Amino acid sequence: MKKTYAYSISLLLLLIPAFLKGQDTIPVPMNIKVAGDIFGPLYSIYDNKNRTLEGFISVDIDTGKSVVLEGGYLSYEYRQNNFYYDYLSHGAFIQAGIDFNLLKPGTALGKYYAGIGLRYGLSIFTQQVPSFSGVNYFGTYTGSVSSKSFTAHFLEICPGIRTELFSHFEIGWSIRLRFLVHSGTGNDMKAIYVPGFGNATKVFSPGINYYLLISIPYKK
Amino acid sequence: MKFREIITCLAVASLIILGSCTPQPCYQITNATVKADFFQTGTGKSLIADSVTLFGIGMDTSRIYSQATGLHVINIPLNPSSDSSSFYLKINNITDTVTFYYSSYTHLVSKECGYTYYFILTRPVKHDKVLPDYNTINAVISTVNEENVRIFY
Repeated sequence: MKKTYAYSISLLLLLIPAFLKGQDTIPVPMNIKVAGDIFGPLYSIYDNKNRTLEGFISVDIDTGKSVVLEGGYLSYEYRQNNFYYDYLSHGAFIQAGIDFNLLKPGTALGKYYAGIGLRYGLSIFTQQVPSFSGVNYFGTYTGSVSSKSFTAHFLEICPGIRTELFSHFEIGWSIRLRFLVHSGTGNDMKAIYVPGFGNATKVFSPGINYYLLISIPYKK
Repeated sequence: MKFREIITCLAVASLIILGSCTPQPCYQITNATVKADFFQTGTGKSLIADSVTLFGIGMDTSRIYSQATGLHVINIPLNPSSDSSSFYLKINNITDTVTFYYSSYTHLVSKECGYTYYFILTRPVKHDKVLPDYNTINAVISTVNEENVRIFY
């Protein structure tokens, strides 16, 4: 019996270092991050009919997760010359969700992020077709669609990476994989472009954001 | 993550985005037409017409079908600038003047193909002769390949 106790105690003593190792804590700061997208403004230099301003605020809720609130405004103009029409869309969007940092806390240190985000998005926008035309048996026909407001809903998966460049200053990018839930426009007047989502004639719309972030630690 | 890996990821992401932005050609039908099928009076059997001629009234120099053979369905365009369109129709040796009454509304075909008009037939098809007879099956006239009207002769 004594031997059994001795073995048991020895085994426990062997396991203690393992527990102690598990309880080692590296101080990882919890941050509030404020970010602005620069991809949209830079893209508008190339295509001045597509102007976007957007950014986000994230708050770390633990060492691996952050709650995120994004918002933005987009103005979009499109002209199709082969099957002639003009199209205008503008509006605001918000997205709420969570970022999951796949790096271990000891690697991330509150400065590095390589993970995946999940978002729900809401877009309130106005679209208009100032003019369109086509040709059929009776000749050329023309038309227009007056300005009208809609509300669209979408879901988003956004893998990405971010890294600290200087103290409290980060850069990073994320790919946006968006899935339209409801465009609000009906089948006949599908939105060509929904702010925050993209091409809403299709269910799936990809995109990219490149962020500059300011990181404000609020807890260690 | 190394700098080289970041650049690789950025390059792949750019390809995805650029691919999605490249303008695509239009492969879809852009004009809505009345799809009218031929049937035999009495038996209701589907028929293939030996000869079909169709053109808009006052547009006989621009024929939609001119003694076309082997048809069991014809596509009849409607004028978006009006709320009715009239046609001269000749099936084999039977001639008729037929008028469609409708309202129209705008429809987006696709980003590549732009906008067109869809129609809703608002009244029964008007025709001068007892035969052919016309039966509206689906009053929504679209670019979708769906039967709209049955022509019995």
